[in-house]
Amino acid sequence: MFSYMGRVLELDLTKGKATPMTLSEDLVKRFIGGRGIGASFLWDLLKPGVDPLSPENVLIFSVGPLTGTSAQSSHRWVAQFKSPLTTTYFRSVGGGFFGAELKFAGYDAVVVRGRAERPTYVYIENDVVEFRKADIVWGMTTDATRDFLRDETSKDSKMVVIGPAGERLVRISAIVTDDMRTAARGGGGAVMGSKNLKAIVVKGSSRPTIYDEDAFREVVKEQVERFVKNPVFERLKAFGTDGSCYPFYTLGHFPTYNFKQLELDNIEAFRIENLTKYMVKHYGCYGCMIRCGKVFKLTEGPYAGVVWDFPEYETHWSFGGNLGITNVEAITVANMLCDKYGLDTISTGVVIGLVYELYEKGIIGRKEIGGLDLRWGDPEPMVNLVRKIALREGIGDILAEGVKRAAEALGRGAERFAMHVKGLELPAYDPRSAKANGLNLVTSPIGASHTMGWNSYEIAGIPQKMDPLSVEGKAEITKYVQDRVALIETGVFCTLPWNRWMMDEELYSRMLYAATGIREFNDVKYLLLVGERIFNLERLINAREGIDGKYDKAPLRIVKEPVPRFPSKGQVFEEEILLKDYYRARGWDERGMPTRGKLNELGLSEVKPASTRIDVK
Amino acid sequence: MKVLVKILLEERPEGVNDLWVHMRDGSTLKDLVEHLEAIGLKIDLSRNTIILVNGRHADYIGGLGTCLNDLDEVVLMHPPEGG
Repeated sequence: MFSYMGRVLELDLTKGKATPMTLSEDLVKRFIGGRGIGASFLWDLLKPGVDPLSPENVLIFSVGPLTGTSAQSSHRWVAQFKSPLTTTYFRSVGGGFFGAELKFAGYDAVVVRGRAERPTYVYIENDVVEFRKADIVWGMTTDATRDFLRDETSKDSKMVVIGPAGERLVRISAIVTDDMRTAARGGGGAVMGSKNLKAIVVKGSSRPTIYDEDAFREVVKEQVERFVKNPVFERLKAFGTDGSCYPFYTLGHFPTYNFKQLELDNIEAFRIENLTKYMVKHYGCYGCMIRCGKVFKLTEGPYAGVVWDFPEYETHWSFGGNLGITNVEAITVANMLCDKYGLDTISTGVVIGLVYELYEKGIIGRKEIGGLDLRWGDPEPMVNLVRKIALREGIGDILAEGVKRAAEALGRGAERFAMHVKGLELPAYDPRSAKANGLNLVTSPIGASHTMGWNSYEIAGIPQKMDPLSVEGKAEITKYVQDRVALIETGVFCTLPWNRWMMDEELYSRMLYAATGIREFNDVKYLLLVGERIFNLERLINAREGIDGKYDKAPLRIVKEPVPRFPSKGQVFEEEILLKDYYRARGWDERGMPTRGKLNELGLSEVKPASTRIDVK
Repeated sequence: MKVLVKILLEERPEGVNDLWVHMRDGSTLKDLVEHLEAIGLKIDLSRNTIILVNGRHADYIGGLGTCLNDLDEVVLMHPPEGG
């Protein structure tokens, strides 16, 4: 097969055995790559009902047909597993250089099973796969682990690692690359930790073979021209996602005070002219000319001397606006601690938001939280709590379970203030301020993930304007965007250029056909069908776990409490109306389950209800 | 009446971020845009510039005909990058 390496590597940690397998052409035609083939593997290999932190959980890393080619922004990697945070199917996507290197080592995917007897890392150098002792690096931060493992393997090796949080089975722990890009969401770090797997290190010397080199070169040239001509390109290059903090606040996002949405004093701190003061360097992932990564340098205050990867939009929010904090230096340090310990910055900020609000309301007292005085806007306890969560110290041990479990454990009505869907903490978008975005957060198979369906129509008015506060037409557009994202992540593309229409499915189709020569990919309608197939299969994996439409639920605050500030003043999230319309648009029944007719249409007719908990009408 | 204009465009005049603009009662967004262009601000009303009135996209509340009120906040910005 052209543009694929044609191999999947199975790692059985229990037996210490590595088995290369052939990637079937039929699977590729049906699911393309990345998220598609990962979802298919999980459907086949994951036994329903298993404990996500048991050896029976399956962890898949995959790349796509354009990974490691000369295409732009298509070199990310996907981690898929049953989530210890949500107990749903999960997909988390990371950047950096690991994806391309995995492909160069000769693999389209790695399937990790079992549990090693002791801390282990796996070193893959082309056909040679070694299970190595990780006792020395166990307990180390992610950056120290990277330095040690590069010394033990090769200075050119790329890797995914976990930090102390993943080792301690923190349910909001991340998988981190050697250059601090993360597949942060869903507790993938804890899944690796539960398998005693500290890292997967790769080094490769192969390259994918392209079906039609001349045609591919031409279409990549066109892609580059489209990037450069798009007005967003220069802004993303200059500011990364930080250019969005202030505009999104203005649009009713960057929700404040644990989604109470009061006006934030000193929101000006997040204006781009203030944030650029900290930027000292730009960097990018493999094969991406956008180079949206930035490095911050702190020169004043208690954190002077810190130089670290910048907080993205989401992180400025989770440790900032979400807690009433406008101290960019403290947010940068919290972000650094999350990278080092291996934590998801969104989930960590939201679970901290829960305790700030419980403290404000007198539901928990100072003694219970180790003497901390959690006043909105005060950054010091926030930074302290990040460390406690990573190391499961004191109250951190409860918060390390994620916002849903933490609220249940604390009791006393705390659940009312736990901002999550299906157990995944809400990101920096308020469903009340953009209804299609909200509908995505509620219906996504992995819980409240903005990346599963970031809706440029209503947030940016691109490619067409759509009133964010209206409910009309939101079901169809949400479905389209979710299916499109599933397609994007077969590549495995970064969603940023697609969200701004620098890339689209028509161009992807031509790139795919030139790279692979697979006739079916030369058809945009077919590609979108694959996206829909993937999204429905993910829904079915959840259904097999007993998770159906009953779990498509926004937090009570979002449904009941009107927003008090402009522009969404008075708005709530009209969940019932939106969901009903969405199930109809999806061709699902009233329980939110794909119908038999829909499954047949998507080529998923092999789903066998009798062998699972699925009851398809 | 006066309205607060926040300019988040790169093309803004040097050093100008926010300004209070005094206008006649009953003025519309169109009047404001004309005023801003008269003082040297280039406003591209294509897909590349969004005008918000109190956070609402002008297109959803009356476009350039939107009536402005005392202390309204008008933001000029590019469609935000997201993520």
